[in-house]
Amino acid sequence: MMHAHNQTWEQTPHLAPALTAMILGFVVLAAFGSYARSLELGSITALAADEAVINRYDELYRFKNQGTALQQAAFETSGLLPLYGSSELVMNRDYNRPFHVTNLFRDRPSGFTIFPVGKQATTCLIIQQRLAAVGPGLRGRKVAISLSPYWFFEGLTAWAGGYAGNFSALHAGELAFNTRLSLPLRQDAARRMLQYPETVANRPLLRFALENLADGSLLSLACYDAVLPLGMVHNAILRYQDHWNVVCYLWKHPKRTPSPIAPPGGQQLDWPALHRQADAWYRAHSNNNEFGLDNQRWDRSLRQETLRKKDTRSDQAFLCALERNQEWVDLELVLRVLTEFGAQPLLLSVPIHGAWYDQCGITYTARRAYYQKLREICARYHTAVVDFADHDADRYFCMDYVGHLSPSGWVCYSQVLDGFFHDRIPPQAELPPARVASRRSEAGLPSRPAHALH
Amino acid sequence: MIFRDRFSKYRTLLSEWLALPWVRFVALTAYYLGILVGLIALYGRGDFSTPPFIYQNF
Repeated sequence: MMHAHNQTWEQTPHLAPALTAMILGFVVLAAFGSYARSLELGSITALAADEAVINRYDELYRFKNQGTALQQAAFETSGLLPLYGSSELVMNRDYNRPFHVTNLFRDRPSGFTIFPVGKQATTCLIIQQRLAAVGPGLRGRKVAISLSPYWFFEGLTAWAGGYAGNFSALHAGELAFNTRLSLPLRQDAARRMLQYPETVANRPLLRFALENLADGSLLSLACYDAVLPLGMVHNAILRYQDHWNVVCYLWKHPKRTPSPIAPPGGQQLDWPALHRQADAWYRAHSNNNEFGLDNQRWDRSLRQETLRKKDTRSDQAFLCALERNQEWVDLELVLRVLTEFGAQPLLLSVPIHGAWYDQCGITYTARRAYYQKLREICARYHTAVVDFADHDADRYFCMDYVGHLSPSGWVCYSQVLDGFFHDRIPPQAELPPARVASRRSEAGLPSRPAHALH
Repeated sequence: MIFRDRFSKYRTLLSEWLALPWVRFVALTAYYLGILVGLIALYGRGDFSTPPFIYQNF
């Protein structure tokens, strides 16, 4: 018996060392994973308060958006509120600095900080994949999502270049191979993701899984099931790569979790004073045009664009685009992911820049349909929504017609986020009635919702 | 001549030492671990970059 054992060992002298090396490798990886998680959790609050998190030229910006490690850490940290959105979250003007949500809540004046996730052209299909990648970490956690109305009526679907520029193989894989999500949801998501074939062209495993999911026949689903374990292993490798990148970043830029300045629960911010300051601050930067748009952008491009588009559009074309736009499908996918994972979401929508769209030929009567539809979808998923419809005629909420927030807009957003974190969401203002033949919005609506003044 | 004798002596010693089962086991394990470390060094960072796109709305 002993002789036979020795003979086997002599015939395969590499087997035991190779197995031992693999086991040791797994132990080291597990230890590294645990170390990485503790480092990320220990640094996430400080990272969220650092302006690098919204600086599009910083390395952190990429890891935060394209990876999952930091997003998961943000969901696991009690004093952080993750906020998903797009270009409005980026620091795009210096004068926005004091009122940007990251800076406004940086020292946790009311007990929490925002963790913003998103960059230019991050539409709902990308947000949905990011949330799916966070996975069960969403359960019972609050999350805010900022929408740009522009996505829902300009064009018919998300811009392919922007989608590819935000696409993450990790996030897409976490959605495609996530058995915690229902099969119909994965199938619907796969159908949408395949409409951007260039993002999966060089990813044969992901493409194969998505195509089979989308097809939905018994044979296709069997093929999908066959590659599911491989997909899960691939996701695990990508997750480790993500941890490695974050750990390397944190070694280079050591951060420490700051001790809370305010006790949990926090204090009341002086919102009326903040609104006044922001209004006064922004008006000085938007005084060379009648629309309240950013002076610099007005001079550079918006003046020409405004003249070019004057009276070129109609309510009918607007409503048609709004009705057919695929972004609604993607928004529903976001809400389904949040519902299946049991998150507590709040949807925020930047208001449409009424004054600017009025002069293009799109009246409030048509624009109202956007707010109406958004409210209907959110009601269907029992999701809280604040659409700032009562700011449609507010010329100073956004610094351009695309929906980049001005200091005034940021203070309104921040006030709602503060209320959401402390379970004091202000009641949704009634949708202002359609004004017949309102070709021009002469500030007929209040410039700020009533709740904002209290 | 002396150098060659010494070299030969050390080589014999090394061969005898490597012939010990536990030494061979440890050496091979280290060899395979080295391969794993090499793979991690090569592919550990992954590629999370995205194609650049021009965003004209700032």
